[in-house]
Amino acid sequence: MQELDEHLTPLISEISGLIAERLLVDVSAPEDDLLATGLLDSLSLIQLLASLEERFGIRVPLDELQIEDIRSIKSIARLVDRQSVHSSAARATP
Amino acid sequence: MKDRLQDWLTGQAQRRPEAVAVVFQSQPTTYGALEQASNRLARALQAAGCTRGDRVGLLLPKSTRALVGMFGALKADCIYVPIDVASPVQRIERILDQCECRCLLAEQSTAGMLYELTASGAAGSARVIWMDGGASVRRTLDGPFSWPDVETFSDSPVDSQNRPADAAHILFTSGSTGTPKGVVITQSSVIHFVRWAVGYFGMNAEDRISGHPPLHFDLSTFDIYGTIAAGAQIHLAPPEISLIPHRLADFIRDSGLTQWFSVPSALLPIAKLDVLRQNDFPALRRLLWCGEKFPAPALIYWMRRLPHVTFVNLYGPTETTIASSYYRVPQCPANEGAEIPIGAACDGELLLVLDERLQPAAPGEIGDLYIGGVGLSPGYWRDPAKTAQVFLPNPYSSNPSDRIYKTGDLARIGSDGLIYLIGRSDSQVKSRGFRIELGEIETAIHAAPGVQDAAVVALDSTGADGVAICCAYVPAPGYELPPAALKREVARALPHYMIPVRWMLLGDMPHNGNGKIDRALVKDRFRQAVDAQGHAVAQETSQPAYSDARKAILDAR
Repeated sequence: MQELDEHLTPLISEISGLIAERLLVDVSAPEDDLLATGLLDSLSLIQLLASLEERFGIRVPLDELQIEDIRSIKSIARLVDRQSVHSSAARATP
Repeated sequence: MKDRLQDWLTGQAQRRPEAVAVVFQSQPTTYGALEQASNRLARALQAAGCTRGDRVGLLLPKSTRALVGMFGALKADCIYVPIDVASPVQRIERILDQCECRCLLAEQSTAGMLYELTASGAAGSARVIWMDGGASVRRTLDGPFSWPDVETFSDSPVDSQNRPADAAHILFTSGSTGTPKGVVITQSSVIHFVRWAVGYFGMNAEDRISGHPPLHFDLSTFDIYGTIAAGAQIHLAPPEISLIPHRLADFIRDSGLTQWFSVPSALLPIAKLDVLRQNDFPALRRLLWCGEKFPAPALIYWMRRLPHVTFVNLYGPTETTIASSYYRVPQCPANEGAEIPIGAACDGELLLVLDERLQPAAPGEIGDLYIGGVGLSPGYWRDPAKTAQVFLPNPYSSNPSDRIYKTGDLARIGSDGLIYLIGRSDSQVKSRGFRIELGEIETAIHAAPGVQDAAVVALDSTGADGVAICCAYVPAPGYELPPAALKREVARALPHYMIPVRWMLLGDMPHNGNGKIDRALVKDRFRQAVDAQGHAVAQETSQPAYSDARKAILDAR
């Protein structure tokens, strides 16, 4: 699992930066629970999703989003990674 | 037969021990199990030195364990104090300093917080009982018991001595001078409201009731004790479920809830994003809200989607226990400008709209709303001065001990005889249903290093927050204090719902002729900034990444 996640490292640091900048929240570790603190509410979540979509050129459908997708920076990185694969696959289809 | 809150649980456990009382994270707990666990805990509390009237702090999220903690404390003749575990430690310290808890109930998820409270001395001499099971808890703190120890105590009924007139719990709300104030709530106030509600709504053992508001919130009192009184099931919603409107809807649907009760702001994103199907939630019978106005456009959406559901507006500040008035919305409002009244007094409650001489305001005239009757709190914890300011002798009663509470809400009586809220007579605001004194926020900002002057104002907003809290500030000479840095600092002192969403760095604070901060002018500046930003957002809307519904939510902020 450790190895599988290694390619996420640059994504994780970029997302940490995005969260610190847009939501003014400091998160110390990528595994930290973003939800336990109550810092993220549904509005800031929507702002965050908009930022992710803008920055990474992906689409995150809210109706398919699960709580676990946004639990930590690491899980958000996995989500972005997944959606990027989807988007490039969609672009590749003629 | 005694009739206290804990006796309701004991009665249900004797009649239907196998019936499910609580469902939390898909785990059901029966009435029998809840009764036994709380009996054991009561004995553990007594063994830890608790006697009648001692405070027991609940450092627990709303969970099955928290319910065990509440009933255990009541059975040990104690007063429980639910602590907002999402609050920063600094604020919790100011609460614990006032309560002098004999015991604190904690679990692994709140252990970090407890260590900080112990290190700073705020936990005082309180003894800790760990509500976790097993070896996962590090027993580095000198707690007399962890859950396996508690389980060695007898689970037979506890012979408690408290009476309905005794305090059941203390709920801390925002205080204008910067220190949260504790509202003391007696058993009998809760008993009266819950009895009325169970009868009026026809709550029974078939009900599956939502447990959504956090434990330190007045609304929690109703969903928990209403469930126990009716012998129903309470389904505790994980707090994070509200982040994604679709998942919140899944929770209501999948739990087969028959009653939903929350602040309206929890329900607004579902309306904004059009999450509901027609006739969704077939099991749902009642949707109740309290704490703030339900914006008419969102209410219309909910009522059209769920024609089989009864919609009821409940109203009442913490000081008068859960709710004092109710209004059953008879039909879907005809237009988006429709005004929803707070209705008429619940049984045993008294609502008065009075002018400044405490004379009844003429029909249609705006006056101050006062509440008396069975739900009235004895006052603020160890603060007779503050209590005397707002709990006044009832001028219309021959009984000198009869009091009325000045809510700070402005209201008028409509031609239909119902009461309509107009606004506030002070600087208290509601954001996401949370009651906030702007003074508490200002105090925290002034305390931050490098702040020379600050003003906190609230702008009306059509978003889920209800208001946008805004802070204008002037850094002290020699300080560079960008908004982001100040916001981080303030987040260490205030809970998330109190942190301003808009910040403005000023060179000078505008003052009026009396030398006071000109708040009207500060508000104007924020309005201008919001308008300017609105234009900018409008120009960005061609970006495909933003769906229209999401944009509507962002614009509203």
